[in-house]
Amino acid sequence: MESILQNLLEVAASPAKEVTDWKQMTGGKVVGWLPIYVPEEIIHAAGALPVSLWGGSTEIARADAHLQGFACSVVRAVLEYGLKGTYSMVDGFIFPSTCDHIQNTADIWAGLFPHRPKFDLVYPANRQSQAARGYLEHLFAGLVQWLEELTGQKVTEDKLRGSIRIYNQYRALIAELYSLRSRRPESLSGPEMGQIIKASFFLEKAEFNRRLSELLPWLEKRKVRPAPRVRLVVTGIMAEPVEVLAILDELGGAVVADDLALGARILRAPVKEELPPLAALADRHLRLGPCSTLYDCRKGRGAHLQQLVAEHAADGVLFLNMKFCELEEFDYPVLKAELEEAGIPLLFLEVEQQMSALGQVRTRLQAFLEVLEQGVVS
Amino acid sequence: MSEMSRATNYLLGLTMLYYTAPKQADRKKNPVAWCSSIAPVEFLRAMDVLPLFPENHGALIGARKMGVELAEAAEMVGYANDICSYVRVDIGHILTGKSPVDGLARPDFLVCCNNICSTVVKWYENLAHHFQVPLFLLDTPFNHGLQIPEYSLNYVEAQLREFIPWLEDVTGKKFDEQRFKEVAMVSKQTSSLWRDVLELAKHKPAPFTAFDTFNYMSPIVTMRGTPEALEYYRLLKEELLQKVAAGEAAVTGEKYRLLWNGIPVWFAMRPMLQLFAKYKANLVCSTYTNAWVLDFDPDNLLRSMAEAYTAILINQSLDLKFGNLEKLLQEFELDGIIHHSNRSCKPYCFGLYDLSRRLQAGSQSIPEMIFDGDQTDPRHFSWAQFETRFQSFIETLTLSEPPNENRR
Repeated sequence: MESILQNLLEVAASPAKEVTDWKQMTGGKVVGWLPIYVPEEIIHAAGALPVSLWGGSTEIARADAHLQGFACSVVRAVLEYGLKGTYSMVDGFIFPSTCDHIQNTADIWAGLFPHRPKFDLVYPANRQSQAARGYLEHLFAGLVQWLEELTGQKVTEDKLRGSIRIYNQYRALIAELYSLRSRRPESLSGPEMGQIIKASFFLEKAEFNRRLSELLPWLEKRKVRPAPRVRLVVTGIMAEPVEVLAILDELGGAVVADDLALGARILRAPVKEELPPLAALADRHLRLGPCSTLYDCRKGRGAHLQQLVAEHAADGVLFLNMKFCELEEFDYPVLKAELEEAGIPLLFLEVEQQMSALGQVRTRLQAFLEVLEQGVVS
Repeated sequence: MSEMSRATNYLLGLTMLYYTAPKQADRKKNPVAWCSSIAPVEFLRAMDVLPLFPENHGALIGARKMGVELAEAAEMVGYANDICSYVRVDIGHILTGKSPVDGLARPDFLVCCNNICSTVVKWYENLAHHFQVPLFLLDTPFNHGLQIPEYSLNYVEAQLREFIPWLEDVTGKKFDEQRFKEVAMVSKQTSSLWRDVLELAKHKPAPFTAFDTFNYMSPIVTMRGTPEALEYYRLLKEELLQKVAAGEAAVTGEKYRLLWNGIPVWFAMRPMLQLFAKYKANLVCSTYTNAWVLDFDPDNLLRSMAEAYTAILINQSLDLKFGNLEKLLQEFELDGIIHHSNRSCKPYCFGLYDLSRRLQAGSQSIPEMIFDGDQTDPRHFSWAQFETRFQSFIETLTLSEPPNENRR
C-alpha cells in the first residue's frame, strides 16, 4: 500500500514522466487544459488523456517577453513551459474563459504556436439566462468535434456515458478521501493530501480510481502524525507551493476541508447520469459554485465557508491568495467582513507559484496558529 | 481660444445635468442605475432610468488627483492594490463620500456588461452585495476568432430579451417598444456623429488632439440615447469643421502624428499634452475613444445590438486588434504608436507585447513606445520614466525614414 501512495506522490512530483509513459504505452493523445472548469469526461471519452496545466514553480525567463509581471504566476508559468518545450508531449490545449489573464494568454498562445491544436472554451458567464444551457450544449458539441478531429476517434454517446460513470466514481472516491481527512487528519500529511489530488489530474481516471480505492481502507488505519492542534479550512485557487502545507503540519495545524479551485471546487457536483450526456455535462456546469470565477451576485462564498467551518469543526480559515488573481482578491473584502461578523478567524496569505523564500509565510502562519490555539477570537 | 465655445459650454451643462439629475430624481419616475461603461443603456433611457457610470467617475477622480486617497480607502478594507484602480477609487468614494462631484447618487439597481473585462463582473457583484440591489449581467462571450459565432450572438440576443421583463420588474414600469426604437436610433445617430468627429483628425494638421477627445467622449459614454448628447455632437462637429476649414492646428507645426493605444493616464494629461506639443507631436487618434461607436440596424434591432455590444474591440481576438491598428495606421497616416501598459486594465495589456512584435514584423514597421502606467493610480506611474522614454521615442521618429514629409 505504501508503494501505491509513493507512486501517486511521484506522479505529482514529476507528471511529465507519467504522461509520457502513458502516451508510449497507449499511443493515445494527450490534451492539456488550463484552470478551472473543463469537462474532462469528453476528453476521456475521446480516448485521450486529460492533464491539467496549472503552471508550476519554474523560473520565468522567456514568458516575460509576452506577459507583464502583473500577470498571475499560473499563466506566466504555463507560457514559460510552453516556450521551453515542457509540454512537448501535449497534443491539444484547452483554454477556458476563466479570467482575463487566461483569456488573453490564449490569444498570445495562438500567435506563438499557430500549429498546435487549441480549443477556446468560452463559457456563458450569465448562467441565470435561459439561453445559457443551449449555449453550453453547443459549446460542448464543438469540443466533441475538435476532439474527434484531434484523436481520430468517434465520441459516441455510450463512450460519454462510460466516462461520466468513471468520473462520478472518481468524485465519490475523492469525497471519501475528503471525509477521511476531516475525521482522521493524522492519516495523511498536508503535502501528501495535496499531492494525491494533484496526481489525479495526470492519471487516467479509471486507473486512479483503482489505486485510490485500494488506498482508502489502508489510510483509515495509517497514522503519520499526531492529531492536529488547529483545524483549518483553506480557500483559494490552489495550495501551492506545497511547502506551505508542510509548514502548516510542522506548526501542528491541518487542513480539514478546502474550498480550492484545484480541489473541492472542481471535484464537487456529480453529473446526472439519467440525462443525455452532453446535456448532463452542461447541467453540471450550471450547478457549480460558489467560486470566484463563476458569476454570483449573491456572493455565496462566505456562507459556504462558514458552513465548511461548522461541518468540519474548524478553528479558522486560511485565504491563500494567488498573487494578481483579481477574481479572488475581489471576494476577499466581502469574506473578511462576513467572517469577522461570524467570529471566524481568517488569515490572508499571499502566495505565488515561483516563490522561494517562505520565511514570512512561516512567521504569519505561526502567529495565526498561536492565536487560534489560545482560543483568542479577534 | 479665449472665450468658451458653444460646444464646450453645452458640454459643461450636460455634465452638470448628468451628475445632478439622479440626485434630485423622484426614484419612482426616474430610477437610478449604475452601469459598466459600454452597457446597453438604450433600454434604460427608454424607461426613463438615469444611468450613472462609475468608470467615468473614476476617470474624473483621477483627473482631479483624488486617486491615491480614494484607492487607499478601499485598500484599507481589503481591496488589493492589484485590482483595477477605477474599482478602488469607486469603492473608496462609496466608503468616504468623497468625490470631485459630491459622489454618485445611490443606485436602485445595477447593469453590467462584460464586453470590456471580467473585472466589471466582480466589481458589480460587490456593488450588488454592498447596496443590496438587483444586478443584471449581460454576458458577451469573448471572440477568439475573426468572426463572432452565431450561437454566441443567439445567446447575447436572448439575454437582451430577458433584460426587458427584468427591467419592468425592478422599475415597476412598462417597457415601450416604440420609445425604445426611437432611443436606439438617437443612439445610433449619436454614435455616427461621434465617429465623424473622431475622423476629422484625419485632416492634416489635425484640428484637435486625442486628449481633447478624452473630454469630448463623456456624453457618448454617459448620455448616449438622449437628444442632448446628439445635440452636443452636432455642435461639436460643426465647430471642428470650421477649424478644419480655417486650417487650424491643435499642435502648431504638427510634425508627428501618433496613436494612443490604451486608456488615458487621467492624472497626467496636461503634462503629456505639453510634452508632446514641445516636440510637435500630436496624438491624433486612440483605440480607446473608438470603442463607443455602436451601430444598430432598425430592422433587426436586438440582433444588431447583440452584435454591436459583443464586437467591442477589447472583447475580440489579438488578430482583430492587430487588424484595427493596421487600419488606423493607414487611415490616420500615423508616424508612431504609444502603448499604455496599464496596470489596471488587464485585457488591454496582456497581448500588448505580441501586438507590438507583430507590428514590427509587418510590411510597414512603425516606431512604437510602450510605457508602464495606470489610468487613475499615480503610484503605478513614473513621470520621469515616461518622459525619458518619450524622448527616445521621438529620436526614433526623427531617424525613421522620412517622417511623412513626403506625404505632407
